[in-house]
Amino acid sequence: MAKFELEDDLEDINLMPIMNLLCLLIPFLLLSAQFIQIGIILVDTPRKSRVKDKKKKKDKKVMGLVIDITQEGYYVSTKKGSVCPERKNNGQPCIAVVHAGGEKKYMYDKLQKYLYTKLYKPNYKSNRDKKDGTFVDWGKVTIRPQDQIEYDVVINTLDAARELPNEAKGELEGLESGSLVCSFKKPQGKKEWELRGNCMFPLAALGR
Amino acid sequence: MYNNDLRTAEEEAMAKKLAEKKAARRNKKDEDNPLAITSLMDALTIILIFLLKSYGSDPMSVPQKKNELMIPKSTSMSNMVECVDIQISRTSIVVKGKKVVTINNLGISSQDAPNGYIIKNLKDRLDDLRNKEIEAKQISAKKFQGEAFIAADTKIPWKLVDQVLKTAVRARYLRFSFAIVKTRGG
Repeated sequence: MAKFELEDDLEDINLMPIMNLLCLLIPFLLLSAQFIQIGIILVDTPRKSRVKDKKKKKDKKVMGLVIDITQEGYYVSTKKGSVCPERKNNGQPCIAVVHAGGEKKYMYDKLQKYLYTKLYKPNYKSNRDKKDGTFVDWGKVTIRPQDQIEYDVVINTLDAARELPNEAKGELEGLESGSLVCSFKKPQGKKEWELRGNCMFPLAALGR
Repeated sequence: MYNNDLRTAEEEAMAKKLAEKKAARRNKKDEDNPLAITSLMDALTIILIFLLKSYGSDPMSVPQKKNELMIPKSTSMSNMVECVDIQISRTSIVVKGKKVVTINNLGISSQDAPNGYIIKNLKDRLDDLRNKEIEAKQISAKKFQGEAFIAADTKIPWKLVDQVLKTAVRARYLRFSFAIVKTRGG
């Protein structure tokens, strides 16, 4: 009987102040929170990239892939020279810009497929198996934009050089897992970034 | 006739009693349970925890502003790590929250970059931050190789970004991560 009396005397906790606090905190957090996900694209300076290559064995081949972004389009070259010599001799870029609706459009998809078919796919197997003909700078690309090129174009060009096109899934053997995702990760406590996934030319150096 | 009257009176009395009982029951319920807010509290607490978690997951934030600083979209899936952050908007360059240079017509004035490329105030600020980092990590100045996080507006011409990169390299920040808005989840 005493127990029942005690229970009757107890009052419910007043939750209203906590409710008020929560109702204030939630709109505040909703307003200040960022729902877009910010990521990064990792790039080197050309000088740092060259120093690293010199440290590696000298008897290996060098690809020396360079993409020049100009107002006319993309000029692609390797150590051997232009990848599209005929077009270059005519003063045309390998992949020209397209003018649509008064705007200039850079053909990122076309560049991605171009790099894949002309440079990545023919050399993929030998570089994967570390056979003769392996490039010391496999996976590296130097991107040289002209001064007036917009930053957005540079970022999209980096994407086109880094990611493999969809057809690579069916054409390349020994791809890691099933997806064509390429990313950099920095394990905790480590100084250097690690490359994960399937990439084309992810190690980019920007500038001259 | 009399019987019918009696029945109606009885029925009325019954109905009255029932109504009274109903009212009593209703009143009793109101007194016993003032408002069931426990489940609402649970839901709000979950939302609060979710918001707090998503608020503090990124080491750095990029405050985006229309026509000032809109960072480009990319398919990159790499996540940022904490390092020196440089924001290049259409009006200024900000390093770790401190404005160092004003931008006019998407370019740097010759006063701010006397030799054409190296931006003086930016170099001074990065030198300060480098020295602080060297002191904190207790490493030799020669071994220092810094990393910088660059958040630039989509419409900024490459020359301006290049000037910032070259200045940062002079201050021994040799690796850069460009901020992007992820178009793929992960």
